[in-house]
Amino acid sequence: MICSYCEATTDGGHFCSACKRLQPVAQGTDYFAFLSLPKKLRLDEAALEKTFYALSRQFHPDYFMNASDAERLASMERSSLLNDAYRTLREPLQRTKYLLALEGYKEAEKKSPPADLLEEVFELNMQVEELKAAKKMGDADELLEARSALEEALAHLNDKLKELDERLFKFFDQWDSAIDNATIATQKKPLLDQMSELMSHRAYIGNLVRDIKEELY
Amino acid sequence: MAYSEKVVDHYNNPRNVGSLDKKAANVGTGLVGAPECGDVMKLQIQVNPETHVIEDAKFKTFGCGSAIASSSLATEWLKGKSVDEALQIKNTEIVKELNLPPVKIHCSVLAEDAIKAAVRDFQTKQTEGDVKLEEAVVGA
Repeated sequence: MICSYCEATTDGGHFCSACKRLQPVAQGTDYFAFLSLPKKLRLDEAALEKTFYALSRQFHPDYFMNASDAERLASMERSSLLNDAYRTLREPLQRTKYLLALEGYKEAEKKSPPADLLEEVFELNMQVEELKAAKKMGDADELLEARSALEEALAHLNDKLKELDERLFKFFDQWDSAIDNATIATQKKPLLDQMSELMSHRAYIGNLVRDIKEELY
Repeated sequence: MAYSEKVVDHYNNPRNVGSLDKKAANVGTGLVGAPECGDVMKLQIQVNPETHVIEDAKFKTFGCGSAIASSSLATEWLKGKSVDEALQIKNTEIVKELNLPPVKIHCSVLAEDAIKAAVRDFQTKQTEGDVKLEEAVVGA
């Protein structure tokens, strides 16, 4: 990389190694690269937080009030990218979503979920509707019945989410060891396919849990 | 974002909401869903086994206004069509009829998928029925 101010060859860091000025963000810089992290899914969240605070101080626009326009812009760009990167990568599910998007997996292109999941989602939506109807009618017995049925369903769905997360974390380990063992080229697609499908099922159940909670509480 | 008048109309007065007997040999059921928005759509057709004309269609959709309108419209269009004609219905026609904006195109895709799934279910039942009939004949 060439420094955009003194034209020295830099190490690609945030600041030029020669003139120490803050560099503009290269186009297409992803969050992992920006934070000098490998594209792994297991991540030391405490270390990430430390990096976030340290870099926040270094990039802060307050320190660039008297700098050139280019550096002021670079400070704003780097600060905002840092915030986005930190917020996304610190959370395992957001991190997975981001990696999938980075690898070209689009949410809208997902195929329909398996029949049993669809049946369950449909049935539970029916139950939510029954609860709504019972509320409207003011029938205490019906209401109680609908509530307890949904509470039971909610507990079951939460177990299911936990189970999906455990499966996802197993994929995390497989993904990371494939990077460590340099077998990622062959394992990439099957792993991403499976994670993408799992995330899609998870989102479906997550939406349902949200709707049920909204009606229950 | 404002919904088009037609979407609002279908949303407020959905046509053909309900269900048909899932187990009946002449009923095809399509259940499809879009995980990203949490939508789930059930569309059923009742087919005349002789003429293969769709005599009745019902739907039940949990989702946004556009998803409800798309499936409501689909059931209107399905009645009186043959199953082969039903398979010709394209999501783009639904988009056009309901003036769906680009962000809601996936709702029409869902409706097209539901039609296809319902027809497929009916056709599977028909061939299974034929096999059973043959078995019965051979058994006799």
